[in-house]
Amino acid sequence: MQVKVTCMIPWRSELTGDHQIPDGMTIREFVEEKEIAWDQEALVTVNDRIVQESYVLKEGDHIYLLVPVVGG
Amino acid sequence: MKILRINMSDLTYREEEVPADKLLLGGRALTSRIIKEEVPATCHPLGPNNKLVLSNGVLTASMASSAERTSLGGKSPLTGGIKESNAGGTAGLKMGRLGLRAIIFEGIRDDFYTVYIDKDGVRFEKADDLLGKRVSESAQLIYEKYGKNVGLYMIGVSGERKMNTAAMANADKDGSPTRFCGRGGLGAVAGAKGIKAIVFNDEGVEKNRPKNPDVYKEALKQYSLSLRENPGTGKLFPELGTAAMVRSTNKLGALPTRNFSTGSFEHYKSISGETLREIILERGGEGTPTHNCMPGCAIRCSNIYPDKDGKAVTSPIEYENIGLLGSNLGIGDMDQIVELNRLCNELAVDTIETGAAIGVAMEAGLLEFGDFEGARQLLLDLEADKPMGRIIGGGAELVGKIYGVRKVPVVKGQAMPAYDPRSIKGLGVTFATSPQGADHTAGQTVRAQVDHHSPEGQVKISQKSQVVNTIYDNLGLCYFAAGAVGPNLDMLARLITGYIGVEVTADDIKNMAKQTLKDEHEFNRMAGFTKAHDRLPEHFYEEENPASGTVFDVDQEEMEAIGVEGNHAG
Ligand code: SF4
Repeated sequence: MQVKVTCMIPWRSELTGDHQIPDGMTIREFVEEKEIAWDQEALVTVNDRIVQESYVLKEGDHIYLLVPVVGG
Repeated sequence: MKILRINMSDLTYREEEVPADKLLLGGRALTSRIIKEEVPATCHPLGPNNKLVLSNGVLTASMASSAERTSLGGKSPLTGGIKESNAGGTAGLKMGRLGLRAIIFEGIRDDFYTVYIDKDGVRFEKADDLLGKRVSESAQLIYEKYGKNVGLYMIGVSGERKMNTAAMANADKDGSPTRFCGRGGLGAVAGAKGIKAIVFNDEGVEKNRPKNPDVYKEALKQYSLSLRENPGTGKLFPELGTAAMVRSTNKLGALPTRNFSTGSFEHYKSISGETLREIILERGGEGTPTHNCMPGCAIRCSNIYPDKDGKAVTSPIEYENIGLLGSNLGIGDMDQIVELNRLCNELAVDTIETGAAIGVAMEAGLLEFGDFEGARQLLLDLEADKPMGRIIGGGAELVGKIYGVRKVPVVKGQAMPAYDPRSIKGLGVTFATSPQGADHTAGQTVRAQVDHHSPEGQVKISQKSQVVNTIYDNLGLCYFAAGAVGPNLDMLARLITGYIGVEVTADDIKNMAKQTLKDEHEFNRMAGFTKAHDRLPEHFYEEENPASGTVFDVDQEEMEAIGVEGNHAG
């Protein structure tokens, strides 16, 4: 199964592109497999919505790894 | 630690010991407590019964990273409610070294003074030579007169004219007067009291030392380590600053665009943190993408923006300013945003309120969205004291009323920061229910890994964030450290215990913050606020944000339970 990633974290830009993943993989498993700490290093959206860690990825999903800072 | 009470009507002062019941109160906790206890809630904000309170956080002047913030409080001429606005910079550090936890300004007058404070006491000096000038020029005159190393607060022409948008400036570690207690028009309260500037000279004063150095050192080590190791505080803030948010909020449909009519901007890339960094690095010279507003801040979210010749234009270029003076005005050129930001700084007006006010003027058709020259002219009109400038200087709500505009992004009279509440609904709850009016620093939720487009659970998240933000405001800590500190309030408790030598627990810190929110809601109730004020403007409930496809639909009753009448804040 294939998903698409757009990574906005500057030092992990190599993640941007298509990724092959096994069926049934959750978003948290995917993110952690890429060595990004869940709820720490990225705000994660799938198809433009922020998702829970238990979200099971589907064919063609578009994952965004957004930078986790706040404005001031 | 002492509290200094200054009467501006007769130019007298007296020092008081911090009373026992206020020993653990600092920053916002102290400004709000004093305002609640001493200011009649129904008073006129610019009248003799309002007070202006400057208070250091509990950790201010401890030299722990990012801990030198000071709160300014009073009854707000913009919202008519209680107000606290805090900033980094260096003045708090100097004030703390002089042994002052807080300064309470009372009385009013028509002329202007510089209040000069050193180890020998307070001097009042006529400030006529500082009036009518840009902030950088007045600051220069202050440095020439009192020396390069003084700390300062000052108002600009906006405060002299008692405008709702008037802020109070203080200087960063390089002496540049570009850190602002911006929100709620407290610069106008200072103006009404005849305070043009407050100057701190800490020459000949001993450094502050922690009362329990062993506990302090250990806690400081742990705190500094977490700041270094956390990816946000260790890498993202120093590299991209808060402007890193642009791409995130644009993606979430929350980047205010053309008077909050939608949440994504076609030119978002050219106003992103990445572009900002590129421009600064490419131009070099005096510019830097990584800069600290106060000595010792390890996070260094600030920057200095250079012009094409490498000369510093202004500092810092932050997310909120990019949002309100950029996309909100349909302006997608970084140099243009920076120029508007620079002018706001020079006039000492709140960038958020001013950006929103110009946005409403654009909505009214006074000028086109994207009209940079027109926006710039409005700020020059403000400086020249022309009628149009007075109108913009009155803030977004006033502009809306004068020009019959229905869509005005304010709550309790105060403009929203750069998040569309239909897309980050937790922030919508904060805007609606915070005693401060629309304010992201009163309960920031955007960082949470939750579906920001869904109405579910947002009241809880906002309620929790309102407490967390208040904790940081009370301690004098920059909220940007929160990402690294996380839920580890014990670490902060030990830092405080070590610094002030009184045993403090994580629960104490939390309870103090909850009490602060209660104090503020109580003041607002006495000032006449009801649950009818705990709402967003009507159009956010009825008109979809096209970028997110959502309206604001959080349950009203649930919101009211944490607002001014519910007062279950915590
Ligand atoms: S993180 Fe930024 S705003 Fe906060 S203290 Fe450091 S430089 Fe100042």
